[in-house]
Amino acid sequence: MKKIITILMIIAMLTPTTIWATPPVFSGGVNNEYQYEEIVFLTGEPIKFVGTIDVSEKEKETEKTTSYKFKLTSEDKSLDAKLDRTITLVTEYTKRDDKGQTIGQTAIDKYKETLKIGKDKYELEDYQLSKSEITDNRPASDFYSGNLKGRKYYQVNKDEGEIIIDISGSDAGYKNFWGTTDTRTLHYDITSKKEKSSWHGTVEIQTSDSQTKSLRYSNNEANLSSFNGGHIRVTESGMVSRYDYNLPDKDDDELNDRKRNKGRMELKQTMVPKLERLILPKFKDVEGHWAGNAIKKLYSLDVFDEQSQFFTPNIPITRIEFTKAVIKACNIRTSLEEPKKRRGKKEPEEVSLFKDVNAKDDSYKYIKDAVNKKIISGTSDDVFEPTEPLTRAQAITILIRALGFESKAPTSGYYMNFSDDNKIPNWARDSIYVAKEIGLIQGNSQNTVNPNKILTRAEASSMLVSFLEFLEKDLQKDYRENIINF
Amino acid sequence: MKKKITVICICILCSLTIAYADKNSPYRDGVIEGYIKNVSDNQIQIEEYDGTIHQLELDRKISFQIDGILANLQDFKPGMEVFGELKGRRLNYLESYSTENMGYIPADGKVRIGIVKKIDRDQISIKQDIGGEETYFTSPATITTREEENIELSALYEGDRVKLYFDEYDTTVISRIEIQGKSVLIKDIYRAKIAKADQLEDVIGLEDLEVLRNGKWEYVSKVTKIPYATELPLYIKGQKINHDRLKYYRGKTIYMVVKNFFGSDKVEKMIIKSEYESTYSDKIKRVNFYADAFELENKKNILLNEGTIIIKNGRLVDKNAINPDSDAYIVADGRGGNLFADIINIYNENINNSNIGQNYIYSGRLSKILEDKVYLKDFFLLKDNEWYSYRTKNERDEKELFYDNDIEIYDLDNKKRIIPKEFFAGDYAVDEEEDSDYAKKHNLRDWYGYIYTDGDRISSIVVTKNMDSLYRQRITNGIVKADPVDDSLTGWTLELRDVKDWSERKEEWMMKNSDLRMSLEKTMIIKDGKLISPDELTIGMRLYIIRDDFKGKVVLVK
Repeated sequence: MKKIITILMIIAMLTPTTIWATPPVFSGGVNNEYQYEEIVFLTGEPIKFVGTIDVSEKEKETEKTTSYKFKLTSEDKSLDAKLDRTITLVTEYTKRDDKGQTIGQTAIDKYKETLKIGKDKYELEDYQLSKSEITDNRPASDFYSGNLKGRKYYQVNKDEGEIIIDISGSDAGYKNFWGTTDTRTLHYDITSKKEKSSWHGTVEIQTSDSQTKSLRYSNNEANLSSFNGGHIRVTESGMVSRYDYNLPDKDDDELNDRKRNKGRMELKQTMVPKLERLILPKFKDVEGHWAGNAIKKLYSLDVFDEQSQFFTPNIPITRIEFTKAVIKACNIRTSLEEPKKRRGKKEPEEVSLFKDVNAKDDSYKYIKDAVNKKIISGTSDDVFEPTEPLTRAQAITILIRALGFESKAPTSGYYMNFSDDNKIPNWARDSIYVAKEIGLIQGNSQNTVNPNKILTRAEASSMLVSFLEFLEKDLQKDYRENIINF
Repeated sequence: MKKKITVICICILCSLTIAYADKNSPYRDGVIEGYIKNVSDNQIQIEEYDGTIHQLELDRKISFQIDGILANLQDFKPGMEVFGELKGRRLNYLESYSTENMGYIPADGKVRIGIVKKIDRDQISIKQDIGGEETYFTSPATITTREEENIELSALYEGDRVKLYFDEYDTTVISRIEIQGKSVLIKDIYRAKIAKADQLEDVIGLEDLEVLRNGKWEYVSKVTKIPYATELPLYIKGQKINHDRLKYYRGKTIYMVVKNFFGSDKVEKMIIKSEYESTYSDKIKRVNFYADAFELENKKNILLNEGTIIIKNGRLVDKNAINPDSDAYIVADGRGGNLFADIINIYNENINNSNIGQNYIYSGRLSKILEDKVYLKDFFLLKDNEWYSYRTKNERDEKELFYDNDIEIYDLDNKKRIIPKEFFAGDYAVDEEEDSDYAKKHNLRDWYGYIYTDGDRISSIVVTKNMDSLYRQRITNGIVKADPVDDSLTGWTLELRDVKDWSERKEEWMMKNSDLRMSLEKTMIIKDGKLISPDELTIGMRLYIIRDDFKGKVVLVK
């Protein structure tokens, strides 16, 4: 008996967990932990269905199988409508490590869909789908974009007619530690061929699944406490969807293709936020400092492992400190932290890439990864100068390289309108251009960017917090509101 | 001895020759210019311009650059023209050029996103999301879209959120504008008591929620909660407060503007009431941006601040969008003469959204209809919400308007759309005064029309046999309260809220305190320059209306 329970427990543990990364299937539906809802247009009228969705995911090295099971009924209880759907999608990944990119090909593996409305029954007879997406794997974030084409054939009451839905669409998304957003645009061309009446319709669907982590400060309610308050990392997830339809209108209870019913329906579901309390910063010298809040935020996130009670915000930050901070802030897992595949065998001793950094040094894994990911390089082939300060230009370059955005600069031979443009080193020009474009930096009141100024720990903290806010908020807005609302 | 001298001389001469050759070599100059012949692991072969080939070792600290960008040895390929610097006999710097089109970005490669602050013909100033204000220029080639539909630039309003695309990195001429769709519009103005502020989720709990309707606060619900955006600042009596301090104002009244966020409300901006509420519906006479104050026509002075909720054309705008002579509904906070503006809802509406638009509404007798022209006799032009009469004593005074195949024509009497050929060939204009036998025989007279033009080009026209009395007409603006209904008795009717009538005597929009019902049976309804049918009007649309009491004559969807 015990054995059976153990086996059952193992099976339960191995059963794939529910995932909420991208909008489920290609119908514009939204869900939270409890409920799923979508609009169905098969009858020629928009009908809102609500119910449950079960998502399971199995992932192998180069293949992912995602199964969706829907059990839905019409929200309008006066309508006797039921929708059951099971779909399995298989995505095959081709990793191009040489380019830092991944190509994903998605196809339908299994499908079954039945819609019953009153006496009418719509059955999915055939479902063809081809979806391809490219992911650019950058150190701080993955950015992806995809396209899809598909066609669904439904039979109405077995032989009373046929409904064909042509689907085309595209995806745009990003994924990093601080957030993930997938915004999908779909276009349905619906053709209904029935004995009595035929009609055509179109539906534009925009749906977005987004998750973002943000830092919130919470005061300590009690006065007699060792701390005044601390930060909480809040993970919020939600899905939104918008349907713009152009369908036949009803004329004496019959659909009239010459009269049109145009409209918009919107759906939204949010999950309960997840909360994580973070460690308390207790520096004596940052209260009241202009960068105080930024420093405290980063300390709470373990970005700075400062042991002293003084943060000393106004002294220069070193190359190693900044490199470590970027890697930690983006939660980039270093290769040395990844679980070792081979056990039992003695690994050869790590040889440092640089003669001035010991491979056994705690900071070495950050340097190695930053160098491998081309976020930073040594000052020469075998020298890193970890304790040397770094300039604003260097810091900006590190951040933009982490995003992989330097390729968004114009081809060389351009100027920026900073008054100290001539002082910008050539190697930093692209990064400074992009940093300005995305709002990471701005010229000061004299319109200078001061590229060669040594960066203090306070300035570095402020820059890193702006970088995190870019990952938290700006990307979400750009991938969701700035696509759907325009 | 001679032999020795000769040998020494030969040696000297030889050494001189060697010295002469070395003077022009790269090893002496320290630089080398030419073409790459071959690249190997740690060596590079360069052919100088004069044809000399050098096989060069690479220095350990060599720096490579292509187009000023750091590069690697692998980036250098045979055939590239290079310039190098040598340290001893080793190459320690090598540069080349590869980019043909310097400073190039792809089309739409530069993007600016922000809120339109000012529109002045071809100049658009925006407040950017990334900070700062910039002015950009449109050209006739600028493409304008809203929700992926190509529209006229004149549809743009101050307060609209836009994405501007540029084709060159250093240009200020916009190649493409994307305008935010319906989601930019303010859905409602609320007033409520703060019950709870959840800063972890940015949600505000509210009690006694009321909505502003027809200048009055109407009950919505007893208890509710609405998520809020934190992008815009929160104020109380001119003082900025952090959103995380909202919880300390529990029990206080708060004013909020909400937008539709995927089918539910989201607070876009809010302001906490500090003292006592006063409301005014009046004309703003003067605005002093230095003192952050304005004066109403009733001489009341009210202070502005960054927290003031200012609404114009259904959009949230900045305080510099307040023009003197604006008519507004104002919710002020304070006591006695010391008032702060919490809400300023400017309700002026015009035919044109900005000075980009050159749309006009005419009404008049169709004197002549030619294949591409219409002449109006004794016509009226709607200017500043009033009909101006133009008597045409001579034929040359008649207003000449042009039309084309894209014109939209509707015959109100026969309730049908007509095509330009029918319009030209029909009996809509006859030689009434020339004593035409045909006109007499058939008892024909010139028809009349309401004409919506873009400059002198007719976009849409509705024609009717009999002229309306324009002096009975009223100019009204309001918001569609519910979708129009096709009533079996009255035909298509529409209900409007927040209605204002133009008063010619006061030269001011006068707010009505009740909803307005209106017939759309014989109405020219225009949206984006095109005629639409009544059922295309939907809830929340802002309308500019010419009406004769219950009968709508012209409806312009704003």
